Amino acid sequence: MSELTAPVPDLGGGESRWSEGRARRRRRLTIWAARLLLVLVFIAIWGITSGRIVDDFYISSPGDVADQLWEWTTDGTLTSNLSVTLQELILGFLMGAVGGMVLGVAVGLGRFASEVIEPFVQAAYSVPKIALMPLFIVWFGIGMLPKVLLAAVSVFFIVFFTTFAGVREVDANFVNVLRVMGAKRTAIVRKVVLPSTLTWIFAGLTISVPQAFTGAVAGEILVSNEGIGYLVQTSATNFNTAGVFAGLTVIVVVAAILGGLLKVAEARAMRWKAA
Amino acid sequence: MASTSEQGTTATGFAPARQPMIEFNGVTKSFLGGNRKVDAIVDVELTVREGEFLAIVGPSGCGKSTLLNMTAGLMGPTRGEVRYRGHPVAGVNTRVGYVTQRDDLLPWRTVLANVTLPLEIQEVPRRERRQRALDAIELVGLTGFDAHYPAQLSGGMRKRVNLARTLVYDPETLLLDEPFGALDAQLRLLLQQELLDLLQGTQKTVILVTHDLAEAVVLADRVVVFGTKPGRVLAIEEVPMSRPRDLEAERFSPTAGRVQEKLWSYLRSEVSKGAEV
Repeated sequence: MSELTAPVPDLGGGESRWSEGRARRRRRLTIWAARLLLVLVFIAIWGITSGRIVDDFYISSPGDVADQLWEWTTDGTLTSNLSVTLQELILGFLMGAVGGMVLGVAVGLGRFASEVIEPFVQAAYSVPKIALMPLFIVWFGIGMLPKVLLAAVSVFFIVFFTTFAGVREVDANFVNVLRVMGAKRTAIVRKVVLPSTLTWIFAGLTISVPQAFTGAVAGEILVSNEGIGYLVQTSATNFNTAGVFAGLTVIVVVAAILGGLLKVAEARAMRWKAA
Repeated sequence: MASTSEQGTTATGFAPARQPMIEFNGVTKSFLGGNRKVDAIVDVELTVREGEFLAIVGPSGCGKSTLLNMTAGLMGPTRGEVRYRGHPVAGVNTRVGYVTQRDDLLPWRTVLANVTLPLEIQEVPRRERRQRALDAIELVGLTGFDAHYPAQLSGGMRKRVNLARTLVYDPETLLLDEPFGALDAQLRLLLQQELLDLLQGTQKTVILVTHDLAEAVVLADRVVVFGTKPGRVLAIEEVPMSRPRDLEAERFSPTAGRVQEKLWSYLRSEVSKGAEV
């Protein structure tokens, strides 16, 4: 969600392509500068408020958070915990995404199956996934597995739903084109249903990455002995607000990077849409 | 001279008169419009002979496309029967190649990949597939655009890709729904000539739906005039021109003018009913 602004219509008329490109680049630069400024203003207000207006026990301060981050980075705490969270996230994401896609296509293709299964999926979708965590802990303990599963379940339902909807929404005209050409069902699935569902699947994957992240971190906060969520949780129990904010900062940065990566991947797979 | 009989000679046609290829026997098709039943076409009696080039002209909304959809087996008649090579059309008719009026290129495939699509389905070897597709793309004048995506092409170019996608796999019958719409006049003429040259010497049966009377006359062996509200056959005209045809010369010929005038006389009353040709 980086481009919230509508393109400005070119009113110049006779401007060359080159200067148009330059204007656009300059514009983008301005926007990034403004974003940076926003962050700096936020940090400044935080720094001024902290200890003067609000007790820094509650909101820490930019300096303390930076110190904490530095300490975690140098003593290896950050790397080891971040790698645990990322592993949970990636494994959970892969399991949920693959499962959701495969089942979404399979169920979406079968009219009967889809009608039978729909209310159950709907119900399961509405269950807050975190409610499953106690069960996962009973089954699999406090290691990585329950967090992986929580992430996987969150991702699964989103990807399943979007894939399922995508398969149901395939343009009948495209299907007819292939049928007249003599295509059998498998060819129709491979050449029309899957590619046209890809847009939907990507939408589902994009939404589900933050969900997977949430699943992993929330699982860690509930009970664990490693991971970013664990860092946030232990910092809080030790009244180390700087640690809490440092953990949150890491979470925000990771989420932003993941979102950016997905955007790039999507732009590549959806090349045909750009024109 | 003009004859509405089903018999008659097609000595002017691509192939000598043969058995009926496509038959519409008392075909009526109704759709549900809101909660009312609307008749798209009513009691159509029409026989298309093997190897014949038949054009259908008529106001928009007269059910011409419905006729093609039924021939392709994408929908069935409400009453009556559609036969193909003597057999009732039941389910999709894969003997026809259908260029629909709609823009239905697969948007995620490049021009080349769209044109190879029917060959992939027929499991033509990869190498041959590519060569045949490139030839078809050249035929419609789009050489150099094979790596473009449909979204990067103009409406007229997409039409041409659509035509290439059908010509490339050489179906025995062509259903062409306004294949030259949205093209400029010169390109239109060029492609029409290409199509005729391509058909020359083949036994292909063609049904061409068009708004353009001149196009219908210069291309077809017979022209069917459709009326509207409800869609029905008003008249069938033979085009007494020999093959092969040189469109450049024929389009202003006295014969073409005469036939066009005749077709127009059938359509005039329909147009004054408020329909748009």
